[in-house]
Amino acid sequence: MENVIETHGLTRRFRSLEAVHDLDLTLGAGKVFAFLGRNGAGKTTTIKLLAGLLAPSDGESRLLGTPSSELGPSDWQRIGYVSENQRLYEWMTGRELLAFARPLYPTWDRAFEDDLVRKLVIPVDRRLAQCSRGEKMKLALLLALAFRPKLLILDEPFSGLDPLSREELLAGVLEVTSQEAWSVFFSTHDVDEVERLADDVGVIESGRLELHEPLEALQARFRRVHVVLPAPLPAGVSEPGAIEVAAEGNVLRFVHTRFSVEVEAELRRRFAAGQIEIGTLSLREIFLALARAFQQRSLAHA
Amino acid sequence: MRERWGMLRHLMAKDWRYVRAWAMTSWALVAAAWAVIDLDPDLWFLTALVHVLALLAPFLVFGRLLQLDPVLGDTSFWLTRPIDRRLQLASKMAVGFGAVLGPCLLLSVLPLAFRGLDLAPRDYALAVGSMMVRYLFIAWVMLVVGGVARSLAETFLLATAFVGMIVLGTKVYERVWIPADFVHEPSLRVGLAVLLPLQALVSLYVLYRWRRLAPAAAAFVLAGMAIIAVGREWRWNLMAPLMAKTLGKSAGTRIDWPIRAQILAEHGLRSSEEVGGSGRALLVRFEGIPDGVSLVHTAYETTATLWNGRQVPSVQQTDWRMEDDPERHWIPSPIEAGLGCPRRSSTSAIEHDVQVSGNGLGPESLARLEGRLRFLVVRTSVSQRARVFGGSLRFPGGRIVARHGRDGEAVVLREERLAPSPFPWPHQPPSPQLFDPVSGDCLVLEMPAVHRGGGTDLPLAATESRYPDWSRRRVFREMARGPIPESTEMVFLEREVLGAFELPFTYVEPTRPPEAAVSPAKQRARDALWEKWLDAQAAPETSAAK
Repeated sequence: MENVIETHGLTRRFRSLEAVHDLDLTLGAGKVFAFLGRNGAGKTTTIKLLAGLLAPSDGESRLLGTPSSELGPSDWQRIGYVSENQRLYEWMTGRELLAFARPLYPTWDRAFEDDLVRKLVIPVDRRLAQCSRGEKMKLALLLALAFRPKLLILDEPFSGLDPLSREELLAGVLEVTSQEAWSVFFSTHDVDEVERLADDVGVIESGRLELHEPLEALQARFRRVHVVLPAPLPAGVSEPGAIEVAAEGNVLRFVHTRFSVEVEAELRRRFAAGQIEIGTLSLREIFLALARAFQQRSLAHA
Repeated sequence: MRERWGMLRHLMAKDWRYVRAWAMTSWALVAAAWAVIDLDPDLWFLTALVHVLALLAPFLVFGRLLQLDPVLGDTSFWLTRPIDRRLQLASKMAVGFGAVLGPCLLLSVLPLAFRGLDLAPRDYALAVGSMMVRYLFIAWVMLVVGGVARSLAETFLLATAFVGMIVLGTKVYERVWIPADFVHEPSLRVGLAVLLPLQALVSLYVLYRWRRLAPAAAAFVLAGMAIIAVGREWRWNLMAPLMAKTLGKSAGTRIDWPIRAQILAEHGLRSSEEVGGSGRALLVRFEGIPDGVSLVHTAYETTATLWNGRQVPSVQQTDWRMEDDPERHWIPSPIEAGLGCPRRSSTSAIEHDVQVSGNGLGPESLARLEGRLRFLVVRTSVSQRARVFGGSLRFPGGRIVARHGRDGEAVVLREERLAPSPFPWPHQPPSPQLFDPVSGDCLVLEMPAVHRGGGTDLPLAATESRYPDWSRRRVFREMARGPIPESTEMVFLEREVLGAFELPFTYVEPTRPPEAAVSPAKQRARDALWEKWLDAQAAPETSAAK
């Protein structure tokens, strides 16, 4: 399958700060990739590098086979881009902006546009300067969807939106991604919507891609383990492949990151004397556990 | 190709929609600048404000146009749309020059037709050219700055820094200077006026093509170096094609109507202004000039003295008696000394010989174009003598502001208006109330200039101004050097045009001057000096022959 996004050793430095470090990433056609990370982790910088808005300090990236630095009009006719930072023409009404954008795309689908205007409840006759942030984001999404792009890049599309707007926006993305095999790369620091959208998940921390795998695989290999033993545990207990290890008296809790049938059998064998409970984690819980683990590691390094 | 043209029009339509209100405001301001020109001089502040706004407004609009779609930064909407960056730039330039600056240019010139000036089509062409090069110079700054600034505030800051840098640079490299006479000076300055916007466009193109500031800055520097190299050799007088052609070299050296005149000699000038060629001067002898009548050379130093479209080529008079004249002519001192003329007198009646010179400011083009020398015969009379205390006084139709610098230096800035009447001010003596004595001192010599270049029978709008801004400042610094008197007698002059005639500007071998109506003793002294000067002129040739 052809990759719609490829990066090799992608690095961006801002003086002494390395915002993105040696990023190797691929996204296959038809996949929805959620790019997770805390604020300042490097998500937006990565997306700007992908879009050619920033020049890399090292490495390279390609969108739809074209180097990001060489993306031209013909490439942008196949790429939809929505960013929370993007400045739309605030002096235009939504209808005027759509009229401006339409001739730019040979594949613009007017019926689809009308459909999205209705479904996303976009006030197209109001000047953008008078629109709320959510309304602007919905319009930006419409501008990115109406020409049926091959690749959709969304940078924090849901950030700062009220629940209703978020739901409408999410519904819009869900609808098109479920109908057509579009590739979507979206960044977020909030994981609620990721479970509904993503096929693959990547987690970036301090500019490094710490994790990149299918969502199902990720959820399959993370388990919360709760063990109650007959006797108190010795101090400094550790567990291979576990994070967030906490021992209190005779209770041991941890999150196993490489869970499998074999691992489960091994755990039950080792803690046969006690009671063991193994539970699944939501993506939010996995992400939080990872974020805390990364934080602890950073502190330890420091 | 058709697709690209369609896309360009689409982008232009969007750009025009964005700036149309601003552009129309600019047009209105330019038109208003004409409307306020006849306001009472007491309202000079309003007039000046409108004029400044009218000059700046189109460029602010241009800046906004560029900033609508910033090419730098990473938040612009258009950067992630299928828009060719070169088309984007082309759209900005087309709308900026075609729909903003162009109409302003025309609006700033067309009203000349309604000023009763009786101008020939060529005069309009000259005015358009003059205005255009001035606009181009400001456009240069705005193109360079507007491309990288993201807001009007940034534009102001960067423009100030940029102009400051250029001014500082010119201190290092004197030959690059803000063009003074954009129109008539076939020199580096004219070259710069035309080429600098090209430099900005090269830089902008690189910026839009690659979206990198460093290559754009490098392109700016490289293009600048190329332009200076080209500008050094620039010999194209911007307005030359529009100027009247020579009548040929029939070169009658003697003209009998209405005043007898003879070209005595032509010699070089040494000027502090190097303009890529030596200036030349003619020594002309006139006879039969009645008392109180003087000559004004109408083709000399045609320049545009009023900005914002009110540039009518102006003329001025000069003569060799100005020992330390504003343009710093170097006049053979024996001749000057022997004639016993007052220094720095440019307005009193000319008794005999007149030196007409092309110098650093203006037309060496006189020589190059072999244009005719046109003289107006004018009667000059003193309309008022006034004792002025201090340095602030006001002329009818204009204004002088004196500012005092360090070390007793006084800088005089003038603001001028085009007066529609044939004279700079009404015939009746100005009211004493017009003077506004304040503490402080400044010696100001009034040098009326007649507004009109190249014509002989045209109505004369007049202005008090003689010099383009930068030159004027230098002039008055020079004049105020030394101890400043507590009070100064101001002499206001009026002029009446009696007639006009022409002399061909053609090299004539020096001949002995004819008898002149001066005292025999004075004439003898002059003749002796004249011989001495001719010998001095011939000496290098004799040496060379040996």
